Amino acid sequence: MTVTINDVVVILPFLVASGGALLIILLDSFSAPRTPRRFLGGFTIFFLAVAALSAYIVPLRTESAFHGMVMMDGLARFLSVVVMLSAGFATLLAMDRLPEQGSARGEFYALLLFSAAGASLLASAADLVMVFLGLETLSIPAYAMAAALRRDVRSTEAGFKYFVLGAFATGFFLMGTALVYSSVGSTALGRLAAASASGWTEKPLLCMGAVMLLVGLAFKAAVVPFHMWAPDVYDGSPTPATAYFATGIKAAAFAALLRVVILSLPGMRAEEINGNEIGWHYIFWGLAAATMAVSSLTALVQKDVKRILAYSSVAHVGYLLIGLLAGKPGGAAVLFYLLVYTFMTVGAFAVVAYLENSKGGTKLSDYAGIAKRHPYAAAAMAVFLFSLAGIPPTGGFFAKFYLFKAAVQGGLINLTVLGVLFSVVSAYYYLRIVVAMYMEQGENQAVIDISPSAAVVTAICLCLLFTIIIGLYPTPYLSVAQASASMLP
Amino acid sequence: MWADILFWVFAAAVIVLALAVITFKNPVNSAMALVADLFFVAALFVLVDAHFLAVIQILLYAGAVMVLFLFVIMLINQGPDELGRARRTFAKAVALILLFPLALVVLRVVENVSKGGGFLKVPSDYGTIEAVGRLVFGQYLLPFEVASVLLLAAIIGAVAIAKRRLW
Amino acid sequence: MLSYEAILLLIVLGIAISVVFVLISKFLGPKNPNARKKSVYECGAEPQGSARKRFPVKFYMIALLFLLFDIEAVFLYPWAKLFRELGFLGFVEMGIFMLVLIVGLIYAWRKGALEWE
Repeated sequence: MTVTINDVVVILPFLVASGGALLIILLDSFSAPRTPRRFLGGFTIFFLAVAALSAYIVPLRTESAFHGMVMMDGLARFLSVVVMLSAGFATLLAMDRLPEQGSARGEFYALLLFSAAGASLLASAADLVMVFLGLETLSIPAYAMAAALRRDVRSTEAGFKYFVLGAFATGFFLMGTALVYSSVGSTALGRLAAASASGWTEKPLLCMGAVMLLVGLAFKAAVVPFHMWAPDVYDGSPTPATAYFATGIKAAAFAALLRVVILSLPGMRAEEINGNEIGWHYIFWGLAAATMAVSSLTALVQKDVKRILAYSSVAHVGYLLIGLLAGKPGGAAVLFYLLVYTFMTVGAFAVVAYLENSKGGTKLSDYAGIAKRHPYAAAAMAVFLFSLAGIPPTGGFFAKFYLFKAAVQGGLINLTVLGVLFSVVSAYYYLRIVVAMYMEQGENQAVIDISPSAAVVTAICLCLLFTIIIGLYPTPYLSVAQASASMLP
Repeated sequence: MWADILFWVFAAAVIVLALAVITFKNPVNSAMALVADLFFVAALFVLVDAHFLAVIQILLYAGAVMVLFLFVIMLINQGPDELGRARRTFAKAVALILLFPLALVVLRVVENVSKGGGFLKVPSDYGTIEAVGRLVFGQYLLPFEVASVLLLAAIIGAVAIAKRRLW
Repeated sequence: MLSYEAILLLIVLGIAISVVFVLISKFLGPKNPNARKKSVYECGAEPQGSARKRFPVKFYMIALLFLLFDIEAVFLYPWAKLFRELGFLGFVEMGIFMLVLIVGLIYAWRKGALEWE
């Protein structure tokens, strides 16, 4: 039971991020009470960058470390980097959104680093115990981040809702783990794959356990019908936290879905018993269809930009679920999609944060005539929204294109048709924001412009750059995603 | 023989008290029933020689977690008029109907398990403190260390939310 | 199944003794109730208002911090039992665990979370 250096390097991203969080907590504790905390944001970005780099330096290994607890394969590496990216952008937004005395300023950065560390651990988990710990290390800081604006009732409410429903989901996941263990005799994902390979219909405990694992993860990924918390939480949380929830946590939840369902339960995909077709293929099919339909139709009637973006993020979960069903090319498309989705969603939330900094609201009516007062922000927002809608030549178009292509190759014609259909519906609610910004007259024409905040502007520019670059030249990013998904079945 | 009798006594107590938790009107009574319930769960753990879990059940759950429950109940402090309302008979009926298929599934599982499709055999010292310790500091070393990071994050989150004057 | 007769005996005796004492004082003790005696005991002062007041959130925070450090303490238990067997590596493992949580203690202390404000 010795620990070797080979073991330690596998969790290097986790170690860097959580070590950074420890340092930030100490720095925050020993800094003078009323001084600004922006410098902690700089530290946070530094540690996130080092963590992302370390994920790339660590050699890929197929065998697991720490007695089969974690491994660093392509999936772990790719999604760790996506999470660190998302957390880095959230830090940039937080540096301008959390200056207020009384809100959790220093703590926010530490919690963000802890959460990113947990997500990276989750991405490299090789055992259900590690998946659970990763999920919790990811979620518990997130609950506190949602409530970081302590004097804002809606932020507190968001934290509370996120916590209660998240804890409930964790309960499901734990119960599922216990049931799986009682059937398989191990929590190792490799053993789970072996045990579920055949004869699983005769193992009721395994089946119940698998369903409960699925429910727990579906909560975290905000899959319909387990999505009810998402709009309220995304709406009420401080916008930097929302940007992270909608991208980083989503990427981590899909890491867990890929690890626990796609890689560990391939045998339970589909089987015919007494003329009934059962297996998670059919469950996912229904979830994907429901997720796309419910979120797209609900988004149509929203009157708040943050809520529209929240429902949009749920809708993208629906598209991603299609990718999960489409085998290896589908897995690569999911990874590529998560990367592009991170840039465009964070970008959109960054514009929301930018306008919030200029004392604007987040209602659709507050966005009326924004293009006159903030022409650059409005243009950037338009690009992000076009990308989210999947209009060429943006990154979002290619992400959707590869996803649906993989789905058609995988024989998921009906789901693909549904996906394209609801993409068209989604274009309508994205365009509503664009129309409000460019075509409508704002009631409040008084320009209350503060000096543009460098950090938020940096975030917007970077996201814009990558959304456009990936749109114009997607090949290198796609090939990285394909290489990272090579071990998927 | 004794172990079997004790099992049925403890198991019956667990179920009765669990029902008491969800049927008491006053949340403080429910919490107290839960404390008693957790004691009997601990007794069940002792019956299968899972000493560590039994100790945790009493120290952490019946002790610390329940204190927290009580504080939260007192913090929210709903008066009798708030607790008296909310008899959603319709919702309860729907819940009962939805419970039915779940109960069928659970029954099927229990039936199958009792026929031998069931649980694994574990060594007799499986849950003793030494055995758990060897696992925690051996095979499950990484989860153990990660748990410290998780607890730290929870401490920071709790203070960040609940501290009255935060700087 | 190890033997738990001693514990069972302890539980039975404990319950029996407390029941007996309650019964003895019920049957033998003199009872002269009056209004003052039957009122709520509040350190001799006149009871004021209802006891059902909202508790301040600081109670909750102290309880939560206690719980988290309690969990830490529970892990010390198997570690202490296996201290010799685990040797120096076990010491380092526990040391890292404790150090991480001590950072939490330092944080709570510096931020005044342990003060009764």
